[in-house]
Amino acid sequence: MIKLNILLVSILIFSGLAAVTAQHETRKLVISLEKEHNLTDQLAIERNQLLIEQRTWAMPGYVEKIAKSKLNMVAPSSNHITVITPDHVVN
Amino acid sequence: MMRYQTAATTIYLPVWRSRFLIIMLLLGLMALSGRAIYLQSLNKDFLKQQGESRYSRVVELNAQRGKITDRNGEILAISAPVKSVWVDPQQLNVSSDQLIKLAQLLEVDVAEIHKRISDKDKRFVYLKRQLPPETAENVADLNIKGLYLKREFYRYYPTGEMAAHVLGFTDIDGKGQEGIELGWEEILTGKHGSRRVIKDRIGRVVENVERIRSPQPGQNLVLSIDSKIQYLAHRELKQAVELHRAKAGSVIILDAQTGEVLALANYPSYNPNRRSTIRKESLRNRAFVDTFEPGSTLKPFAVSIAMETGKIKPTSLLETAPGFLRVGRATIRDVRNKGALTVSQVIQESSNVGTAKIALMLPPKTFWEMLSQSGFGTSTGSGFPGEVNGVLRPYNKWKLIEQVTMSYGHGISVNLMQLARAYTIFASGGELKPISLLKRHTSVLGHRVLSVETANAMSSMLEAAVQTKGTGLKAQVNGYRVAGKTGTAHKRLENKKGYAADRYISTFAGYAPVSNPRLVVAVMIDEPSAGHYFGGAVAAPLFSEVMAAALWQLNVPRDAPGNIVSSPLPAKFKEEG
Repeated sequence: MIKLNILLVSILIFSGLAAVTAQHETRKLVISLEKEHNLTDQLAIERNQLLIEQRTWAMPGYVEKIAKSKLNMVAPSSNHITVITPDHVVN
Repeated sequence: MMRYQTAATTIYLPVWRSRFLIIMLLLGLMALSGRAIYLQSLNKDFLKQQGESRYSRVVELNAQRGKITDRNGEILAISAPVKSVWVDPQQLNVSSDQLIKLAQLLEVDVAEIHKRISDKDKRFVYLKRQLPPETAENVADLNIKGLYLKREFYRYYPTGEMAAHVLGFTDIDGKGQEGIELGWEEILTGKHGSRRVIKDRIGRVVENVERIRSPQPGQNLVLSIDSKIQYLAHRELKQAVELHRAKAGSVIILDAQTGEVLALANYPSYNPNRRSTIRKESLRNRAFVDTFEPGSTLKPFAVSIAMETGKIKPTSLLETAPGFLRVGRATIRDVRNKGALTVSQVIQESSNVGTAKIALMLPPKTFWEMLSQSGFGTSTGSGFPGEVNGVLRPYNKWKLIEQVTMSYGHGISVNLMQLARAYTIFASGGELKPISLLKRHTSVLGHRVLSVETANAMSSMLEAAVQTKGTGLKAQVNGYRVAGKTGTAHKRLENKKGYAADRYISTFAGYAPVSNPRLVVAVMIDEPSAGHYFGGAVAAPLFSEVMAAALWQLNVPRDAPGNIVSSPLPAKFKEEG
């Protein structure tokens, strides 16, 4: 009877400790999961900001301004354009 | 001990002892319940705070508003996170040194902050909303007790003023106020969620208890707009409005095959990123919410229904001499006496008298049905908030003169989108295409209004209208066959009685390339005041530039390579180059 009690008590202590450890591990994992979630958030935010930046630089009006003022580009006038139709290719 | 065993001693115990005991017990009970009441109702925040700070928290899960992109996935509206600074005046503990630094960071007067934080009854006061993340970090570094940061979203529109009227904007709380943002609010907004968690001493989440509501992020919206074409339309429109010193102007570009709106520009416009500077006047998306009398751009509808019902043929001769026609007490005039004209020439030279004579051949019901089926007086079904349908009066209330004036676009009011949509009939062989502001993935069936033969016959007439002797000569585009019709209408007086003698609305509606129409463009210039006001002189050149730019952008094959006109577009670049 005493032996059985000792066995039960030791099982009780062991399982108690295991429960505590498991809880602790869970919390640690949850914390790291949270961290990753926050990182995801941060990265998504950064992505949006980069998208905005990219769009702002790629605005047709801005590109046109740079093309004209810095690169001295001009749109070709109609007599500078030759349209190549399939007939041209055949000939 | 012995004493208690006898009945006598029991009897002789003094009565005050038991009473004293009862009173003491009652006092104790009262003290306890008093304390309980104090903690539960009078000073409840203390325990609540203590409990919450130790244990569970409900965390808001923010749902982001959906993105708006153009048809090619280019971003037109996106939400970027920002921080708002708020304080709890009851908890706030700030030194004057910190306060000065805070005021500098927030760019707010110290006095103003003082005013806001002095109201100790409040538990939540915004100091400044929507700070950029970097500034917010500096604010957080001040470590002020009772000052908090809240994450919010700021709506950013990279395209600025060029697509402002289509997109609209949101208010500071992220609710749609105008345009697509308002009309598609349901789809764009997400639903905030929340979850209960357990946090530890330093605020880390250590356990997820339950998810109270899952957040539902807003859906993205793909518009039919092509941002490059939109830019070109906006640029050309702006130039034209300034050149003609007009009050305003609008341009619509539709895909002739799918009815999608590729561009919709209004000028004057506004910058949706600087919401405090927006003037109410510039907010209106004129293409949808302003109606006007379309003038001669409506002539093709009277003429084509007369052809459809067999009253006339393109070659039928009509006498327009002496250049005016009396109907009842009114007189309808042409700009000059044009003599005998074929039906085709009536359209080409935009003769009011000729069109009036054709309109008089039609039964009112037939004419009304034509206009109604062409979409005048009814919603375009675009879903754009605040769209105004214009006025098409029922035919049984028409007077004779109304039937006549309507044939050349007076006594009927339309919005520019209706006009653009109606021209899809001639561009698509007789079908009215349903328009859409959202990208369509499949082509749509239109609603047949005219037979293919009539539509094609009208198409040839409209092509003639932009050629030599036509009123829309300046609408021509290098390398393409173009068809379209000019319109010039006197503006109605504000009191709705009669017309202003010197204020006009100049319009042009047309499409290209005629051999296989890809684009329908409608332009409207309100009150040009730099000398010219005829549709052919004001709206047609704008049409030409917008059409040329859009066809170029879409790489549409030329169907008239030999047709080189001195289009204003290359000339302008030559000057600048």
